[in-house]
Amino acid sequence: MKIEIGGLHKVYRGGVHALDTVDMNIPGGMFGLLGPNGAGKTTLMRIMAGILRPTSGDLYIGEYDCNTEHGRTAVKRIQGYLPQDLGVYPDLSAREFLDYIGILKGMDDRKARRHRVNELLEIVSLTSAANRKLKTYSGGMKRRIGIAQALLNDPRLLIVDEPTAGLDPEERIRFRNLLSELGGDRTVLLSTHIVEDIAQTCRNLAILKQGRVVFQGTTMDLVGEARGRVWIVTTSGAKPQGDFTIVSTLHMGTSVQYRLVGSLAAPDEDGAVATEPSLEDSYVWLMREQRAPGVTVASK
Amino acid sequence: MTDCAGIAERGQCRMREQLSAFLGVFRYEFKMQIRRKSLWIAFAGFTLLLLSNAFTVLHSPERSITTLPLVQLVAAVTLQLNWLPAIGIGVFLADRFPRDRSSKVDELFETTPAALRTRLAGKYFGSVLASIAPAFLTYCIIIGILAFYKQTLLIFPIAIVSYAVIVVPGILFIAAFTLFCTSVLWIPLYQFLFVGYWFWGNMLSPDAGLPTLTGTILTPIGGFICAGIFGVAPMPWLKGATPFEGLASLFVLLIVPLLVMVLFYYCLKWEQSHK
Repeated sequence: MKIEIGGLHKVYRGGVHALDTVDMNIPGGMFGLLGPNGAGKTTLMRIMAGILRPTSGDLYIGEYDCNTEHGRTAVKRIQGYLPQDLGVYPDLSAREFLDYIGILKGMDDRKARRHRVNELLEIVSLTSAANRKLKTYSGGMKRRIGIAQALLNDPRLLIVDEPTAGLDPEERIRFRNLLSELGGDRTVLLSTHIVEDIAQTCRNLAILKQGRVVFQGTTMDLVGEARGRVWIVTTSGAKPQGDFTIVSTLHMGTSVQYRLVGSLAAPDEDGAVATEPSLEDSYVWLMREQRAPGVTVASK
Repeated sequence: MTDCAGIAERGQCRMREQLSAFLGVFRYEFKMQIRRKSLWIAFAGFTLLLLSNAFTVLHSPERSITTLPLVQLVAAVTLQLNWLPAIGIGVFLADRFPRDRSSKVDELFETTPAALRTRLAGKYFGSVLASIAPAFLTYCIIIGILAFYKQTLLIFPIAIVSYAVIVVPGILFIAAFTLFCTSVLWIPLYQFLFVGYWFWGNMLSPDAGLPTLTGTILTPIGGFICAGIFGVAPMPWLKGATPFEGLASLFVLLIVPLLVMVLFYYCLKWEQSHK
C-alpha cells in the first residue's frame, strides 16, 4: 500500500508549526521515520492515524483521500495504530481489552474475535497473563498488548510510534524482529528517534527536522551521504578539537579512540583514519549539515 | 470484520458496524462501572440506612403513607427513595468521561472505525445502567418489604412503572449533564457542585426565600411526575400539580438530556477537528 503526502501543514493552536510543507512518498514494506524529539514525527503519525486533521495539504493512503470523512473512515478499517503512549483501561484484563478494541474495529463475529485475540496473545507471548488486569502489567508487557491491539484487524497499514522507547535491550530486539516480520506483507510505518531501530529493520526512511523532510531515500543513500566524513582518531593526548561531532569515545588503556563525524581540515596531521559510516554516523552528519547556515535540504 | 462487499447498500452496512460498536461499548462501559467496589459499598450503606428506617416508618401510627392506595403508595415510596441514590449516581458517573482522556484511550478509539457518536452513546447508556443497578436493587428490596407488608404481588409491576417514569428520566438528565460538565470541570469540583445543586434544585423549598429550581418541572427528582401523574404529593410545593405538568416534566427530563448529549457530541467533534 502506497502513501502519498503532498504539501502537508499542521499548525497547532497558538501558532506552533509542527509540520511545514511535508512531501513524502512511502512505498510498501517497512518505512522508517527518523528525527530528533519535536521534529513532527508523532504529529505526522497522528494525522495518518486519523487522530489529527492537517491544517492543509494532501494525504492519500492507498486509494483513499484522507481529507474526506469517508476516506478517513475507510483507512481506519485497514489500519493498526500503536501510539507512543498507549492508553488502556487498567481494570480490564488484557483479553477483555483486546476484545473491546476488536469490537471497535468492526470484528462483530464473537467467535472469530476470540480466536484472533487468543492468536495474538500467543504471538506476543502473553497467553499466561491474559486474564490479569492491565494495571499489573510492566511497560514491556503493555507495549506487547499495544502491538497486539494494533494487529487485531490484520491491518494493511501498521503505524507504530516510538515502539521501543523504554524497553530493555532484549525486548527491543524482540519487538524489532516482530515488526520486520510484519513488514513482509504490509506497510509498516515506524517512527523513532533511535537510529539503530531503523538500521535493523528498514530499507527506506525519511528524516524529519523541525517539521520538514530533510532526507528521504534508502538507508544506503543516507550512509552514502556521510562517506568520507567519518574518522577514527586514536590519541593519548588531548581530546581532538575542531568542527566535528564526537560520536563515541573508547578508552583503551593508555590511549583513547574517538569516532568523529565532520570535515577535518588536515586529517593526516590529526592522525585521523577515514572509516565506513554507520547509519547513526550518517544521521549525525545530516543533522550537522542542517544546523549549518545556508545549507540546502538534502533529499532523494 | 463487517463484510460490506456482499451488501448492496453501504449505509446499511455502516449501520450494522456502528450498532455492533455501540453494543460493545455499552457492554464494556457497563462492565467497568458495575465492577467498582466503591459503588457497591456506597449503595450497601444506603440500603442499610433505609432498612433501618423502613420498619419504623411502616409501623409508625402517625405515618399516613401506608394508608394510601397502592399506586400512590408505590409512587410516594419511589420518590422518597430517589433523593439519595441520585446523588450517588451523579458522583459515580463523574469520572467516566475524563478517565478516557487522562488514560488516553480516547485517542486509540479515535483510530478505529467506531464513530464518536456511537462511542458516546454506548458510554452514556452503559455507564448509566451500571450506576443505576445498585440503586434499583436497593429499591427492589424496599419494594419487596412493602409487598410483604401489603400482602400483594401487584406492587411489583406498579413499582417497575413508577421507577421507569419517576426515577429514570431524572437519572438520564443528571447523567447527560455529568458527562458534559466533567469534560471541562475538575471531577471533585463537579462532584461538590453537583451535590450542592441537588439539594438546592430539588430539596430547597420555594418558600425558603431563595431562588431555586424546586417547584418547577425541571426538578430531576421527579416530584412533578409523581404528583401530576400519580396524584401523590409528598412535598407541600407539589400539591396542586396537574397531570399536564407531570407529563411536561417527564417530557422535559427526557428531551433535555438528548439535547445535552447532541450538543456534547458537536463540541467534541469541533474539538477533534481543531486539535
